This record gives sequence, C-alpha cells and structure tokens, in this order.
Amino acid sequence: MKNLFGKIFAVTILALLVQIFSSAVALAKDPPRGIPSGGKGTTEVAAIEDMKLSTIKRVLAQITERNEDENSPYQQLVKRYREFIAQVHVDKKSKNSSGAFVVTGRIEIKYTELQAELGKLVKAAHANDETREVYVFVRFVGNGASEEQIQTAESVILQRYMTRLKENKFNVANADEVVGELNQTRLMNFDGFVEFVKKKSAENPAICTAIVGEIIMAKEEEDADGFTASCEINIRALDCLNNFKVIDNYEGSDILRMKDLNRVGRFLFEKAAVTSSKSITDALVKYWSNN
Amino acid sequence: MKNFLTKFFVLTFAVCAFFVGTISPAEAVIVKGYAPIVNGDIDGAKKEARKQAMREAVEAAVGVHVQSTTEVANFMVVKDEISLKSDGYVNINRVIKEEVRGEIFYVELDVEASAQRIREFAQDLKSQLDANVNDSNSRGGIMVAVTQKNLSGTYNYTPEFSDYINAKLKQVGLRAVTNDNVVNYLINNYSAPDVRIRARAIANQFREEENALLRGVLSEESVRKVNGVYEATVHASFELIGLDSSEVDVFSKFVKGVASTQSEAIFNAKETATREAIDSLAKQALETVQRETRGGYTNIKTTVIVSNVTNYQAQYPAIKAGLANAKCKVIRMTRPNPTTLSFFVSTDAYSVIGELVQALIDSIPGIQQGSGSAGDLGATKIQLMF
Repeated sequence: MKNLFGKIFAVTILALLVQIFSSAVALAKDPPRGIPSGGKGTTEVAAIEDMKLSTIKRVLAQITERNEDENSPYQQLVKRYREFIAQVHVDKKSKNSSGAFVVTGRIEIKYTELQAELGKLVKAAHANDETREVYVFVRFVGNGASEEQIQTAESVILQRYMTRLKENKFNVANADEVVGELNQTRLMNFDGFVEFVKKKSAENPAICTAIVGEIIMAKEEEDADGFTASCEINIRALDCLNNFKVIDNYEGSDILRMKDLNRVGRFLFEKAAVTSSKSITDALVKYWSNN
Repeated sequence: MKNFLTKFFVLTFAVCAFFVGTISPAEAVIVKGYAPIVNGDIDGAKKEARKQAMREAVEAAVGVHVQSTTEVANFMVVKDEISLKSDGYVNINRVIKEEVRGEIFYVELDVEASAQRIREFAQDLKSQLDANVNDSNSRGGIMVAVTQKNLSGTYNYTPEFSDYINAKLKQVGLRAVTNDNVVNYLINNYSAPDVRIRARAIANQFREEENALLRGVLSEESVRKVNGVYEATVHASFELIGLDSSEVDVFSKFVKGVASTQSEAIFNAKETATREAIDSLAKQALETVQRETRGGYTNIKTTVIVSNVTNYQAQYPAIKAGLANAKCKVIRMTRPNPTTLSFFVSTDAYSVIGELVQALIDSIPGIQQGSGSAGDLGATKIQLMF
C-alpha cells in the first residue's frame, strides 16, 4: 500500500512537471520582442551602447534622411538616442578575434516618442506655417494599363507620399478639380504634364507647393527564373509661391526581380514611390527651413 | 493480479491528472482561423489567424440573429473589439492546431465564449456610440461615401459596410453620417470614373454641419485556391477629404483574406481592409480636426475668387485692404484671366465660411456675392463679383 501511494505521488509530480514544461515551451514559442541588433566595443558596456545607437540610427533612417549636418533632425535625435530605448535584451556576448566585445540581442524602442520628437523638430524647421499643404500629382504611366488600373496605382503612390510628408509635418491636399482632369493628360509628355499642373495652379491659388511627376513602368520581362520589372521615375517639387521655382528634381530608375508576375510590378512602383517621396520630402524640409 | 490492478489504477490517475487542466467544458466550441503570411511575417499571420478564430467564436456564441444593417455593422465592431481584448469574453482552452500551410497560417482553437458577457458588451457599445454622436461632444462631422467593385467589374453600394464605417468613426468621437443625397448619387452613378470626385460636390451641396467626406472604393482584385482554402485580395482606396479645405488623409492598400469558401474569403478581406482603413484614417482625422480647430479657433483656409475686375489698378488695392479688414491673411494671389483675381487666404476670426463671406462683402466696397455653381468640384470657394 505504501508502495502504491509512493507511485501515485511520483506519477502526479511527473504529470505536473510535464504541464509546467509544456507551458514553458509554449511561452518560449511567443515571438521575442524588439528589433534584432548587435554591437561591439572595447568593453561589454560599450558594445551594448553601440547596439542601442545602431538600432536608433536604423529606425531613424526609415523615417527621415540620414544627414551629416549637426543641426539636422536626424543628428539631433541620434545624439539623444538613449531617450528612445525602452529595453535591451542581450542574447549573446563574446569576444572577436581582435579582442573586441561583441553582443547580439534585441532592442525595444519607444517608436511613438521618437516619431513625435522627429515631428517636433521638423515642424520647428518649417519657417512658414502656411506652406505646409502639399499637393501631389504623381501619375502612373503603365504599359497597357487601363484608366482604372492607373487610378488604383496613383492612389497607392499618393498614399506613400502622404505617409512620408506627414511624418515630416506637411499636410497633404488634393485638388479634385485638377485630379478630375488627369485622364486628359495621359498622352502628354512629362514637360507637358508639368505645364498642365502649373496652369491649373494659376487657377487654384491654394496650390502653393506641388509635387509633379511620373513613374513609368516598362513591360515585365520573363526568363527562366521569373520576371523582371523596371521603371523610370521623374519627380519635380515646385514652389508655386515663387514663380514655380524647382525645389527638387528627382530622376532615377529602378529594377526588381520576382517569381510572381502579379506582384513584381506592384512592388516596384510602390518601392519607387517610397524612394522618391523620401528624397523629395527631405528637400522640401530643407527648402522651407531656409525660405 | 494485484500488481495489474495497481498499475491500472496508477495509469488511470496519471492520465486524469495530466488532462485535468485541459479538458474542454461542455459549452466549449472549436473555431478555426486563417491568415495570409505577408512578406514572411509568420508572427503577424499567427496573430491575425487567432483574431479571426476569435471573431468566429463571438459569432458562434451569440449567433447571427441581427437584422438591420446597423445591427450587422455594430456586430462587426463588437467582433473587432473582442478579438483585440478577448479576456473574459472568449477564453482559449486549448490550441488544437497551429501550423504554416504554404503561404497561409492556420489555427484551430478550443475556446469557451461567454454569450452573456458578449451581449452586455454589445449593449454597452451601442450606448457608447449613441453618446458619441451627441452634437455637444463630437469632434467633427464626416459624410461617408464608399462603394464596392466585384470581380466581374460591377460596382455596387452596400449599406452594411457604410454603417460599419460609421460605427468605427463614432467610436473615436467623429460624427459620421449618411446623407441620402450622396448615397443616391453613388447608387445611380457608381460606375462613373469620377464618381468619388463628384460625390464631394454633391456632399458640399447637401451638407448640414459636416466638414469632411470619406470617399472610397473596395475593389475585389482576385481570388485563388491555396492549400485547400480560398485567398482573396481586395484593394481598399479611401480618402478622407475636407469639404471646405482640400486637406486629405489617404489609405490605399492591397489586403488579403482567407477562408474555406470564396465568398467568406472576399468578405474577410473587405472587412480587414475596412477595419485597417478606418483605424488609420480616424487617427489621422483626429490630428486634422485638431489642426483645423487650433486653440479653440476655427482655422479657415479658403480661396476667394473675385470676378469682373475691370479696373485692376483701383480694384486690386481695394480688395487687398478689404481682406485685411476682414482679418484674412493672403497666402497666394493669382490672376487666372484678365478680369478675375483669386486669393488663397487664411483666417481664424470666424467659425463658419458664411460669416467670412458676409465680412468680405462688408469690407470691400462695391462687392457682392458671385455666381459660383453649387456643383463645383474641389474645396469650398468664395465667389465674389464687382
């Protein structure tokens, strides 16, 4: 009988241990928090600081332009990187062959605070409150795309520009009286399109700053490994208050390879919109802070 | 024999001890959830699949006895909220299955949902929405004009989705309204290429106290069968645009939905797209509203068009002085034709455009209200003439 109770006790303990182990495994399966990162330095502390700094730099690079100017919002926030660190999780510590401490792990950051601080600095850099509305007229020129597909692509482009502009405290505006006539500009070349927007801007004085441009998609090319899409980007930012002075001119081309024909074109023009919007917005910030 | 009985007893006890915490209660239900894995984000897909399963659990618990479109819409909001904060409403007894099936994440959960608590939550939500539309505490008025396009390219207008949008906007204190004139215009002209642009003109014509329009289209892009389930892609293109100003908040995204039937997959994609769109736009709208009513003042930025300017040398200075007297700051002036001057102005001295119009008529000698057509596209423009 004593033996039986001993066995029951042992099995119960075993069952409980199995349950605790299962819970621990389930917990371990939860995704780790924070941004994967790493750093190195002469001491372990220095390596962790390096990890924090590089994480903030990486995040900042996604929302604003890397800038060497000490007074730029980027550099000011880089200097204050410690304020935006929420938590550090170090997974591995080691020394490399040259004797430096190397750490890897994850950094949790205070993204909302970082974004808000960036917004404040950029807003302070805006000399003139009235010029913060930006009208975006970036058209999509697709190979054989229908008017409906073009309008869908243009709404995606507008969204990408809006995101970038709003991060930099500009307001995005939309002139229906011009957008409603964009279908009449499909056959115009780029210069003709720019002239059309300038003419419309004269009729509508609310358009103080205009981003005019186009993303021209070439037909996708197929090979054994998938599809290649390419595009040309031509964007111009105009100061309509100052005789349509060109604030920035972005010209470039891009290429993307994917296996999925349906996605390659969409990804490429979104990528083009993101890249060009970053450059144009940074130029606007710089321009309005000096004018 | 004694040894056999002992072993049998021990084994039975051990099995009972192991499963005591995991046996499902009688009222528990098994729910399934699917989510597409976008850009390799398995954690995100797992989260979405669980949320979808939770939504199914809410439906299973209270049943779909709702009738009116408003009830359907409110129930969609209830599902949104509970899938985010399931504690106490839906509890997971056991994760039966969680796996990656190609590009889809699949979960199967054994859950227990409290129908009573969910019903109470739905009732509270209804009261909250009713309280939020109280004129005294609402933050802004928004008209909603959203159409849908199906796979065959046919457009339609579905009141459930409009009501769902209204309910989501009301949740954050934005006063969302459906205007019959705008809705009728959408129904009769949904396939016109510029229907969204014209809808703004109609909204402007028939507005009461609204200051913005939410216009958009949910387009079914494609449906395919993947690993035994259907995956639908929907493009949501929404704009929240001012009626007086041209400030715009945009949401444009391709969103996927997965389910065991084609129609459910499309519905899930539309529901997810709408939810994401409104969450994003409502947040942006709050900022815009704050900007437009900065420090308790209404910031009016508008265009004043003055026609019949036949003596530029004498009339231009008079207009400039009149604008200054009416506390308007001129941001930009253009001359679209020899007898017309257009001014883009800002002022915070008035609460509505009508007051500004009267002030301008009082301040500029010889001026009267002009003849702008009510159906004009774009933002509100003040038309004056000599």
